[in-house]
Amino acid sequence: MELLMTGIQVVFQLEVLLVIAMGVLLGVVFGALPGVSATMSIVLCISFTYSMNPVVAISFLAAVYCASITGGSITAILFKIPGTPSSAPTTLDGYPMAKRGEAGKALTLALLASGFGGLFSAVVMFMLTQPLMKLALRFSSPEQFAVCALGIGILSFVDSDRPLNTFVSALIGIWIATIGQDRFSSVARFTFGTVKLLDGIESLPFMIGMFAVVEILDNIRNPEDTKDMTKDAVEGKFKVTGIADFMKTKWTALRSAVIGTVVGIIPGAGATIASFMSYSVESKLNKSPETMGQGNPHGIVASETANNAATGGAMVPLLSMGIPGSNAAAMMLTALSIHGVQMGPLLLRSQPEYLSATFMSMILANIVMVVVSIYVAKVFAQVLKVPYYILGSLIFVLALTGTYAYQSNMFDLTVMFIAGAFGYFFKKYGFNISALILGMVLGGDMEYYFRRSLLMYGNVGSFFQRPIFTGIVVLFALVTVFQVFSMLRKRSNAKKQKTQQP
Amino acid sequence: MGELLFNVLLLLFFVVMGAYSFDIKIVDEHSGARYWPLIMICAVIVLICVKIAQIWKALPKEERKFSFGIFKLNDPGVQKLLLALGWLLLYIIALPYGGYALSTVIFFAGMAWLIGARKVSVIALSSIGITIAVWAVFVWGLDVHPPRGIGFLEKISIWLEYLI
Repeated sequence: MELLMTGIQVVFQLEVLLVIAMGVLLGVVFGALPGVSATMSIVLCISFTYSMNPVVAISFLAAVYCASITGGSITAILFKIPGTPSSAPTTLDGYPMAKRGEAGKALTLALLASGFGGLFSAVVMFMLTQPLMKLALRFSSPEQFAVCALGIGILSFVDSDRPLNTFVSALIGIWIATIGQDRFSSVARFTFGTVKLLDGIESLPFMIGMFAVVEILDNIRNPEDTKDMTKDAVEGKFKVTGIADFMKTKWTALRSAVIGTVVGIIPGAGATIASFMSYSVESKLNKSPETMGQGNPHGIVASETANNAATGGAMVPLLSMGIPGSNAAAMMLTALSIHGVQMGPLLLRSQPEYLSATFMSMILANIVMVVVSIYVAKVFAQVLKVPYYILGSLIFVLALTGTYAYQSNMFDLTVMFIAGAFGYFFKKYGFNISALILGMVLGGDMEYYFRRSLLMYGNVGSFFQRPIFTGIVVLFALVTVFQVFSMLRKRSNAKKQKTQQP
Repeated sequence: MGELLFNVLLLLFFVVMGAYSFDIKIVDEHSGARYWPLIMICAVIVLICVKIAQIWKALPKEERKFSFGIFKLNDPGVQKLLLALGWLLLYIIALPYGGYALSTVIFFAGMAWLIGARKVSVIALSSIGITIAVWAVFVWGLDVHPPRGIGFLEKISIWLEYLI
């Protein structure tokens, strides 16, 4: 209670409220721009904070962090370009909704879900920092490997009509993650003697190629699909909807908020993993799983709630132990260190106002973000009225520029091109792009934790001495058995119906 | 038949990658750099073989013959697709030489025409306008330094970058 009162006292001042509003606006705009990730948004904004006092700086950067994760959903829905990697799952249902004239509804859902996820995790973190840290401390390499494997395993059953295709896609993604220098021995793998591949394949250019470029190529091949989107936009069907639509997805939002918060706490597992895992879970638990990926609002809510919930989760190990929970949190660590904030167990005792300022500003930022984002989205959405020959070319230019802006590296454009060309045929012949991307995102960590666990424990059998690991494996086994059983029953019913037909 | 061909090519690719992975050095006995990707590759090869068998089984007998007709090169949609890919590749190759501004204007104009724009004024104005807008956001706003090109194009790029 004392911490809460301290937070209210330090944050509810005009200067702090103004910087929160500015941070939210900048964060949303940066997040919406492809190639500018949440990490980059924070890096770009650090220089603004040099002349600010620590509480103001903390509030500003926390606002930028939360808002940039949200901003990624705007271009994900309108143009199928994930503004940030954590918005990649949002494209799967957001873009189809925009195509059928429901861009306003999709954006409203995304923004409300983001606000809810961020608020949920900020409040939970405020109340449970210390006990949750004990849970994070118990997560070692075997548990982290198991969580990654669980995420991929659940996704493999998303497309229950073609589980083989999905599983192969995930495995290909995991293999792609092995390209580059091995983390343990620094041995080059699949680099073919080129220095450019030593750092591996960057996920953002690859994702932009797989999502945005594939989509435009699809529209070039089948031009009639684009007419509905432009037509509906011209007829003014873009309209912000009310909170009622969001309330229909409340259980999805709550579940995703929990997933995002928990995943965010795990060091190294940030908003991207949270959004993919939440989307995977939703794909299985949704009442109409066959509509996932076709414009199901629950898909948007699952992804956006989780990725914003992870922001609060990532702050827990950062503030309590000085261990950043994500890349963006690592940037926050650097920025806050400049202002003399001492992360770690002593923070609560020596600088409690900074801890409370962080959470209170995140709570405020998530509220302000919903309002600001709607207006930013309306500006972006005016672009929908433009004819597709302009819009498609604009998306191409944005995708190319955003890819280059990421690291100012021409090779990223090559990666984007190859991903786009390959992705077109990959998607056309029934493979699952999101499974491939998830495999790529999780694959590197999966291998790292698995091999590290082997080094620590000697053999796989020893992992089962750890109760949390065993629990996750049992959960994975139950999910797998359930899914296999459901698929077999579905096929058996389909065969029976076929034989019964005259 | 197209699906079968794609899967066969994918299989061949991973067989080659599998062979290549034996060149990866093993430094650590427990978990060398080779084994993890090799396990993934082996799993992919086995599963793609299963897929190919399924596709072959489902393919009608009359479609089990390879012909160049499966590429549908006479289809206008396919021709546009190949042109778009070629145009994109050309843009990426030309970018370091032509510089961002000029290359993007030309790329945008070409892509807009390919997608369906026909009015020259619309193409010209939109390509220049959008290039300026994107330049303003990324170069002036975010301090990204795009490829500058060579010769006088480089000088123009530098002048534009520091204009604001």
